[in-house]
Amino acid sequence: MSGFRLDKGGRIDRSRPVSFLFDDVAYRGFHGDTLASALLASGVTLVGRSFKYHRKRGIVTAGPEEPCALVERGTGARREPNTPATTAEIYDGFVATSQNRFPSLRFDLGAIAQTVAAFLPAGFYYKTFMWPGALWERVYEPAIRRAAGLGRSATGRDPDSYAHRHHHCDVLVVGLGPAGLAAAASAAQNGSRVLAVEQHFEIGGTLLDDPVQGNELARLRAALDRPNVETLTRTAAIGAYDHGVVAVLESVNDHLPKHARSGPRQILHIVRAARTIFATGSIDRLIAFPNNDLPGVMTARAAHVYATRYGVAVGRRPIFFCNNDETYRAAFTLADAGVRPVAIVDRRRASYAADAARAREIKVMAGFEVADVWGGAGGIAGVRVRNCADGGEIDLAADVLCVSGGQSAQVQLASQARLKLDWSTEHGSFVVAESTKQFDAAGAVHGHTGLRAAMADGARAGGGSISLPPGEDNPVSPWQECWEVAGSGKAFVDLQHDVTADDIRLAHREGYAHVEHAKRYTTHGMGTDQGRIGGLVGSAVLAAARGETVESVGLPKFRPYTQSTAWGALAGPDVGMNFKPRRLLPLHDWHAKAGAVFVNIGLWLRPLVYSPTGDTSWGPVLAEARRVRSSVGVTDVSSLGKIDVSGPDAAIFLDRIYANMFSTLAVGRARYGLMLREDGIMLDDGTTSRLAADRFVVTTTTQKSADVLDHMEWHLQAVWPELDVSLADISDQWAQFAVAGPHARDTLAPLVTGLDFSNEAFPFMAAGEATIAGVAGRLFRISFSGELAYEVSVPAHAAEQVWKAIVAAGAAPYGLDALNLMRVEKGHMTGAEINGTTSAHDLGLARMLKKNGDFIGRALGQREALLAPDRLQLVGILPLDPAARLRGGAHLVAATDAGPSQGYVTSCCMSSVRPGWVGLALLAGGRARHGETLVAASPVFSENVAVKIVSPHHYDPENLRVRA
Amino acid sequence: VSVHNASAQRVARSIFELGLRRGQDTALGAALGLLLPPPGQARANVLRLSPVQLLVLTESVEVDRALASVNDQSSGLTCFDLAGPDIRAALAAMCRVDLHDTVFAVGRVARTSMAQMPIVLWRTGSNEFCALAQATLAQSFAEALGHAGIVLTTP
Repeated sequence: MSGFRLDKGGRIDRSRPVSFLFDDVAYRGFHGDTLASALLASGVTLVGRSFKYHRKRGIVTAGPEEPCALVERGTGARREPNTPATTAEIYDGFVATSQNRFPSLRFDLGAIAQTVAAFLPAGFYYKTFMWPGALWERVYEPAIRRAAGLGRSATGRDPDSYAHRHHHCDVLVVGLGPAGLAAAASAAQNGSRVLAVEQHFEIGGTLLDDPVQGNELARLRAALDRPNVETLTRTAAIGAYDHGVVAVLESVNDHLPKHARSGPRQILHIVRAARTIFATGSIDRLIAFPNNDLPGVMTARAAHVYATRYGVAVGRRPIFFCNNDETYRAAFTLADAGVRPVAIVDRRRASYAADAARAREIKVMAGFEVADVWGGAGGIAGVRVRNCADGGEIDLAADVLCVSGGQSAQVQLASQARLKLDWSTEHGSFVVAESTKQFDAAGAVHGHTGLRAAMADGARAGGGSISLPPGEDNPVSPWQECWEVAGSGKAFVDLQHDVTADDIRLAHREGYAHVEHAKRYTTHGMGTDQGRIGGLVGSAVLAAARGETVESVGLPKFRPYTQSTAWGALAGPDVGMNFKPRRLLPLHDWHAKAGAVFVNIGLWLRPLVYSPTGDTSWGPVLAEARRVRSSVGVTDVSSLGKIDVSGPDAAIFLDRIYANMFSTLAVGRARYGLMLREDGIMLDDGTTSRLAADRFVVTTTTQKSADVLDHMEWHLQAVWPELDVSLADISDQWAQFAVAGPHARDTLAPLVTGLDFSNEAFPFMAAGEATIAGVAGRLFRISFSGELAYEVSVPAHAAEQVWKAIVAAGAAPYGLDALNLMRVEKGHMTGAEINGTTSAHDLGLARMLKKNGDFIGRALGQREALLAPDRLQLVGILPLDPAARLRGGAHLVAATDAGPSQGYVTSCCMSSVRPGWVGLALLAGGRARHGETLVAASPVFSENVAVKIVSPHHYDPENLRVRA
Repeated sequence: VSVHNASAQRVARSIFELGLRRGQDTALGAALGLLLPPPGQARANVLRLSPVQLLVLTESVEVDRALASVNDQSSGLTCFDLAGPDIRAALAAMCRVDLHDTVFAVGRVARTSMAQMPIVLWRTGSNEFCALAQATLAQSFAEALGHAGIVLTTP
């Protein structure tokens, strides 16, 4: 092509030249240029290769709808693929590279695909490469992925930062062309809080392309200069969601050279607006004629915009091909700039615009169409024009073909917002047909075209009125259908994904006649441009194949995001160490100093084992456990959930929430409780203590603390609002330590005052208030380890004082691994067993269920299937060979290589009290199978271990030690 | 992230959580020496989080159990005093609540989620807030404030 910079005009700053690299070649442009405008000004035509066939592609549009001129912007870890050259602003040092070509754009080996194009119709990969199946993953898929595709994403960690911002307003206006500006201005006058966003770097939309309306643009801009209006440019709405939420992405730094950047690269605004007005306008769409993808074929609107905004002529001998009046504006603009169109080829026989063109002595070929186009050294060389009436053909020389098959309203966001779309014969487009409480549309997207009509509609949507520019919109002759021109050669309906009109017809023939099916079969509209310039054309081709109207075929539903969006923008600040918050135990620093190796459990960081050398093997873990079993240890269980349940109805509430009885619990006593879900499956377990007639302290597992509080709160508020009960999450207020081992009482006794601490006065499952190491707290005689044990609870601010006193009294700290090891030996359950599939029956706890009175989970827990004797039930397992190790998740089978699975290992560890490993498992009908021998098979490790099924209570089954 | 004119200070405060007994609004108010604020608002040092849940920022609370259950939360909640001309803009990076004067006036209280953490946010002045974080999340919350451009200062 022979694009060039016009001597004057455009909104670029000619006093600020900019140099940049494209495919390692240095070019010059101006401040205010996009990569596309600067390349066009430099005469560059070929900018990319197509997705499937590797055909040569050029610049087609001047906006985010660009399907072809997609580039990799930046280098190294900042390299970002699929960036439209039409929106990328250049600056000194800007670097971009073309995509999907090897070794170069001009000579691309992948272009060999064109020679076999006949064998690559839509869906070819569903039909070929079927066998041998073994080659699918190793050969076919990688090869296809390599050959097809767009850019390469960076492999390094993204060095940029991204921010989120929650934004609230009365009115969000998306798109600041005439309609959007009018909407924002009228809403602003009412005092509404307005957020107005424009994806381009300058607000104005089509006003930017209309020099006559410069004053109007200035007036509307001034109307937004108010404290209740925030205007963001370089900011695109990328998704519309439920409840009126709209995601809006602001590009902060992408247009700046490195040294000028500050703050985040992009900000994702999560906008909650009472009302969102989509003023997203319309764009030119393509016409499917043979070779309509050649570099040098572009939309007429693009030719217009390049001239008005960037002072660039897209060629020296343009031909226009259209079916509407709007296109003539582009032709006139070029003519005014001194670039005389060779001809305007118009499918219509007559129009106002054609008359105006003839008055300007521009040749109009009315009732003609473009039948073919062919390439030359730079861009196209000629266009074959056909008389629609007699079929007579004429070849014309041209260097650029500017096409418009009509204007398509930009309904993507409105469609995401579930606004109804209706076909408008007048506009030749689907337009938004309704508004809802939260979403509205204005201007062209709402079927109001023409400057004044669009502004009036915008003002309506904004809830006010504004004065319109004097005069009237020019009369417009009707648009006339022109979707496709038949001929030989590929006629594309989707330039980004290489989908042709023939592909759509093939999809129809093969049964994919619904627009959603045809879309998926052909990948039409599935590119990053969402098929903006050809989507409707595809629907029309499908409609013709179905013998129906385009109105009845419709458009596929649109979904977020409307453009390629960086993962970083979605993640925002929640990356790396900030991926999720960390909950730190009150004694975190003490544990760290004592050499704890921490482990992430949910949000918590908990000491796994105290091992200053970092050794996390079984050695130090077993040493900690044996110390507890033989003497005394202390572990930090502060992460347990603790809920204060108070009020006159607290006992009744707990009777219903728990599957066992709490109203009979005496003050000063604790009880193990089972909580079920509504469906009868176990939710959580823990001990609950009665501190007063109307006050209980519930403990939950660490993992389920939030779920249990939710569960309680919901039932209190929604199911039993008549109960006078208060819930308080006191988990963080109270630090809690388990002191366990045969010497636990002797160790603690000297520290405890205000409570008779003897075995008789404070027996197993006692609870009470006491002073521990000088701190007022609570004592519970409960045991997870299976040893004589107490849990000490003190306000977190005094945790260190009490913990140190306990350690000084002789208790050795032990970590989560030792804690877990001892509970497995004892046959206690955790989340591995209470795993969302198991019932109280399965876990051997059925005798705890209340016989009388209702409770959550009672009714559904009695379903036959939940009581079946062959359900997976909790058992213990021991390897026959003490040297063999068990694996969590290993399946229990009758013999090596003999399926089916009869159950699986839930927890296992080295034992502190016997040689080798012990484990817990869920086994079909397990309780009746103690004594059987099975094989624990772990295909992952290729291990088969013969195991004996035993009681889950490996250690002290008589429960004597806890009562000692 | 962009630097705002906004700062945060971690402050030790004595806090009690009260669970209101049915129909005892007036009586509890009298015991505390004020008219209880409506839910979502604060009056003096009393923050009403829900119809039945209150936080009282005070050294001690002596209330009859017939009026309310009381839990000391002084160790359970960590206070951050937030201030500065840009504090609302900075909070918008992490807070979903609309902090505009017409929506979240001085004296309003909200339980909300900030940087994935449960937070009680109380507007104490035109450019001042008090944020209460769970104590075990206080370190992460302080870091999140920093990422939002809020400078942590020490008293």
